[in-house]
Amino acid sequence: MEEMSKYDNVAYLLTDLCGFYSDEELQKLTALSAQMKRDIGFRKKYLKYLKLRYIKAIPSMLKGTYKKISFSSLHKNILSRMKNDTDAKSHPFIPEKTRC
Amino acid sequence: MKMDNSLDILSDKDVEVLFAAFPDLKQRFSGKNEKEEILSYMDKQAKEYNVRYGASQVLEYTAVVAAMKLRAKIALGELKKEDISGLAPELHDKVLSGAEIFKNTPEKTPSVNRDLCRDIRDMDFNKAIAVLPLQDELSRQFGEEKLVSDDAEKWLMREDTYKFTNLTMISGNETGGGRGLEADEFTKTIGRRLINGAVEKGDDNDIFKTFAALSQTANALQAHAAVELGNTFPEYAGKFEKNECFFRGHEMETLAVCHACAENNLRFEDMEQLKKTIKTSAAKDFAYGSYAPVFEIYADVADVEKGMCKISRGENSEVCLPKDFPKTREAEDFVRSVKMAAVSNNFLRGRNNAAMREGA
Repeated sequence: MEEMSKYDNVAYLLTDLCGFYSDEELQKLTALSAQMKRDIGFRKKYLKYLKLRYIKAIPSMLKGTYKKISFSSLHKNILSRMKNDTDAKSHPFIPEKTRC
Repeated sequence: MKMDNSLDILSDKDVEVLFAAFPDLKQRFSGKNEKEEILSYMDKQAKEYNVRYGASQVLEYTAVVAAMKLRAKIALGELKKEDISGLAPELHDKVLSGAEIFKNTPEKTPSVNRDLCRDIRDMDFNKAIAVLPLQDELSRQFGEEKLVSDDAEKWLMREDTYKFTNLTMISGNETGGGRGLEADEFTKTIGRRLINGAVEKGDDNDIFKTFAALSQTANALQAHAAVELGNTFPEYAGKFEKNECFFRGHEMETLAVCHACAENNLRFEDMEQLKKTIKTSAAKDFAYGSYAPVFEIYADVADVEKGMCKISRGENSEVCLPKDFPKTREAEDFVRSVKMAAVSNNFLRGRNNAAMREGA
């Protein structure tokens, strides 16, 4: 089996970033994982923002000052960023590069 | 030792203390026949999690968690007199003075992880009890099997003794227990564990730290298991209802079965069949034996000391799939047993049947 980098492993990243999971959060996690399995595009995009969040947290993790957050808030934040990302790409009024 | 759920295990006062520790239970059972209902619920949970000594063992572990919740309040500097009003009066001064010393000397306790303490303080009954199967299995391996072997003394001299000692303290083996409570022991157990926790030294409380590490380990494993379930069986993702505690209590076995199925493209007709397989002794033996030896999944001492915990199973691998999973003999045997369980229950999907029979 192909070895997966820990930075591509959603469970690993989430476990490091988030605190205790409620029953509902575990259920959400299962559903999220299923959605990623079905939709590769979604997985790529989700992983992209999750990694960004993780990279941002690395310095405080190394210092031991990182405060774990709830999965629900992290998930909501990532979904909203994904939505904005899609909106930005498909937005018809994004100005093209201006000439110098 | 009580093996059943006879009502004398829990006095009226115990119920009061239990409700103070777990407001969610109060909400659920407050009213008529509450003792009967609580014990019957605990008995049901014990059966679901397959722990050895029924409701009395669940109750014993509940006392441990209740003490830990009070320890978390002490660590946060939040303990109030009314929090311990149900405990024996002779303990009050000792606990309160210890908590006060702790509150006034925060510089002594730089390693307290306040978020973790809050998590433990707010832990509801089901979340707390979901750690029980992991604790039960670990204490079984650390305690009974290691201690009865001829080289117990040599084994105990190893550096792992630290973990062993704390784990058995959590399970209750330091008092010859770990096998359930007798009548009139619930509240006393909470008090004893609270005092045993050296309140004056604040977070220098080995039982507390080990409990914290065990809870975090279980939580991380549960999250990994949830992800693997969704990944391996996306068709069941919508069926994990709020009251579905099963996978929380069988996180190790779930991980093992998910990987065996993912590797061999095995499917189940429905979730009940999947649960049946996860509950088999083969899944348990494999999950706790060759798949993830207990020392490898258990928290590093350094992390425990920080009030944090990390699952270590070699760099990058965490608790996920061991890279040599399909190659080891144990792995092959395990996959075969999952296949055989599937054959005997006739619940694999048609297209796998031929390959399955071949394998079995």
